[in-house]
Amino acid sequence: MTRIHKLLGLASVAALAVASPALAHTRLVGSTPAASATVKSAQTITLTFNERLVPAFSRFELSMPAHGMAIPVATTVSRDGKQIVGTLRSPLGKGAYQVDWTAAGNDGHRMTGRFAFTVG
Amino acid sequence: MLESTIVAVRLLQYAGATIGFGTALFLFYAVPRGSAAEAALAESARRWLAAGAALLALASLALVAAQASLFAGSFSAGLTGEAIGAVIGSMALGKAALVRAALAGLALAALLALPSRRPAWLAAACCSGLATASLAWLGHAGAAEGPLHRLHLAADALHVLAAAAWIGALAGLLLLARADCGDPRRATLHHALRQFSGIGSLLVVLLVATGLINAWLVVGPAQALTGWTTPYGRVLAAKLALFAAMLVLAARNRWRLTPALAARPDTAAAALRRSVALEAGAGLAVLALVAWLGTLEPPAGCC
Repeated sequence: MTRIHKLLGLASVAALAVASPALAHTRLVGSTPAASATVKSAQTITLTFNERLVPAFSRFELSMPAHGMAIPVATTVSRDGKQIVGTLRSPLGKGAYQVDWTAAGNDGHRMTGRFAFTVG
Repeated sequence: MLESTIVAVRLLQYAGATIGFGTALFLFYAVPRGSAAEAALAESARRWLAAGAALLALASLALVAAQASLFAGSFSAGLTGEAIGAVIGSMALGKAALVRAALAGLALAALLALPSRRPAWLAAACCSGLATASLAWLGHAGAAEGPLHRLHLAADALHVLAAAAWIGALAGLLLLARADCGDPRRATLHHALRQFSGIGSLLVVLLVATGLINAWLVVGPAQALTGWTTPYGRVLAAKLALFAAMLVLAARNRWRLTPALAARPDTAAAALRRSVALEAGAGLAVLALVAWLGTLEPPAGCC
């Protein structure tokens, strides 16, 4: 009993002594092009997340909502697991684009989101 | 639909772990060796423990399929070799579920194959106990990184083990208490309650300590005052309220009804049975809330 109490005490102190690394679900922390940005051109789209993703279930789709048109894009997850990179066969033409992303986290949660950018 | 399937499968795992580990352990330490009660319990205990181990094994496999479906977006896309293979191959959660299913399968085999009771109960408690500890990889602890990763996993594993040992013991007490007057199982109830009382106190200490560590690691102190308004905070508050209710019932069982059982076995036994059943019901509700909590986002994520 006393030994267990001591161990628990040590564990609590260890937990309190270090700044809390409070956990959150997967979320987008940045992208190129940035959300709502207007860029001159783009051939690679990169989404950066706050934590490692499960590559098999993390991707995004690109579309031009004004034309109801999906743009084919091949996506891969970077080696560090925190970025989804989409490469296009040719640079994007002028217009408004929308990215719909799906990111699976190792905590078992699937998050989705959307942002827009403009080439022009 | 997919989210609620995950919640249901998680609850089934917890229920299987509670019976497979907690009840097996309780029978091992609370039922006197070689007693008439041990012999009278043999068949019903084997059935219940085997059902718990089988439930844990099947629910763990179902979790992999449900997780693949959630990630792939639908059951039709998830129930494919590719999606299931990705959950097992690239996620700690998937590998832990496979290991858990195998351990629960071993517990089941021990229960069905071992002829004598106590070795079978002990083997089942050990295998199911390891399987129960692996539930720590199910949640946020399994996904965390950094220096506190191990502490978080250890605290989580201890927390689920202690919870399963407590609620599983309540199920075991009900197995003893439901027998008729004059039955050896009923006669051993008082002894079993006394065996459980010291262990129960230790389990509560463990639950509070590991619960505080987990709350610190998952939610963080910054949200301690403001986090209660989020869905996660509300479900956690409901869980803590049920935990408090279980403590009140446990204290009443221990300090009022157990002494009364020695003095007036007939009338006190019925009251005790109702009270233990109520406590076990609250325990099941806690498990359901925990299964739900795992799909909600901790409040730290909002800021």
